[in-house]
Amino acid sequence: MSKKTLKNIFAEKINKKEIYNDIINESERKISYYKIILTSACIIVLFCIGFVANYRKNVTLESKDEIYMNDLTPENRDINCSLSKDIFSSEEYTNTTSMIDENKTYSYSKKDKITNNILINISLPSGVYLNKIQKVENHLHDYKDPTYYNKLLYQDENGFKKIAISYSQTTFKENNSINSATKTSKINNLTLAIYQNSEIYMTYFRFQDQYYEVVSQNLNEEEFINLLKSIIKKK
Amino acid sequence: MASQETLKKFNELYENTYNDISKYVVCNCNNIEDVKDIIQNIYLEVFKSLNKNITMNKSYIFGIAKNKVKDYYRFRYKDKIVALFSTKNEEETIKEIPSEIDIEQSTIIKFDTELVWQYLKSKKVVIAKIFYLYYYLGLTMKEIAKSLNLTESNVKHYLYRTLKDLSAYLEKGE
Repeated sequence: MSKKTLKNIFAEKINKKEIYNDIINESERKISYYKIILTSACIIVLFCIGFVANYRKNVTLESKDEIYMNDLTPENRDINCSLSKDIFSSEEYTNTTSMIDENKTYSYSKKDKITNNILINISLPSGVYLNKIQKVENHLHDYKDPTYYNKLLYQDENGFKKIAISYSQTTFKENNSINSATKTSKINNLTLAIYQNSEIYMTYFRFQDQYYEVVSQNLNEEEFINLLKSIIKKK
Repeated sequence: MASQETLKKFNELYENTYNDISKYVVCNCNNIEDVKDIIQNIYLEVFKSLNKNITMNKSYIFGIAKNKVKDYYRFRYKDKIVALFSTKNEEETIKEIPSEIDIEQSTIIKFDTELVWQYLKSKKVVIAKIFYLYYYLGLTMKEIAKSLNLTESNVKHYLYRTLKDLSAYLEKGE
């Protein structure tokens, strides 16, 4: 009896079956821990990849801006600008212009949404430099730097990201007073509506999934068309 | 989840080796209370190895046991149980011990498992080891003496004295 009792005491305190159950439970619990850890790790890795991809995208955009800005130094900006007009007038081009057809649907459409909001590299005629690239502006009207070529990415009231190119001494707000297009031009199969008010030319178009607004002052029609041709180039 | 085959293998190994492994752990532990944890660690390792399709045998499990016992005490404070009774007159008492020990018959009539366990824990660790090996695993005193590197008379002495003290302790407890 008492031998058995002492045996029972040890059997109870160091219980074979209890140890066995603990082992089985522990092994299953460890497996589920691994699953949780693995899932968490996957989520973190995916999050990190997304973050890095986004970061790299921003860095690329900034570096592009940097290149454009470095194109023009303050010292030679005036010289470059004066050169640009001579180059425009000397270039040969074969564009056709005609009177505007009111019923025609133009390539520019405000309803189209674009996702590509990255400033693309527009190759301008040699000797013409961009004054500066600005980041997304909320109000195009407020943007004024009339002396030189400007290119900026802005967001209109409908949320569209647009590239605006200016060669004008007026603000975009002033140029917006022109309400009706007077002519159309076809460059590389792209039909453009050109708005003219005395010496100011304006046009809006969509090229390679990117919206553009181009305005010029003191350029004649040929020079303006030449400017458009430099933007609308077949890849 | 472990496969049924692995579980079957594990059950077989567990049944076949439990007594030997528990004997090894008891003989090499520093505290009788650690035995359960160490055995659990050993068999968890065995289970993990089986999942990796490693062929298992008794000697392999003993290898695991050896490492696990070492690991268990490597970074752990080693509890040394201090003996509460004097061992000055061991030689005299050993002579008095009868060859057939049946003192437990008269001592533990009304027992309390917890009380006995606590009492054994408060004694030298070797006493709990002897009790486990003698009563639970049913080893002879000679075998116990060999396993614990003691003399047979020492084992007898420990058993006799502890049972006597335990009897007094339980009576006092009542």
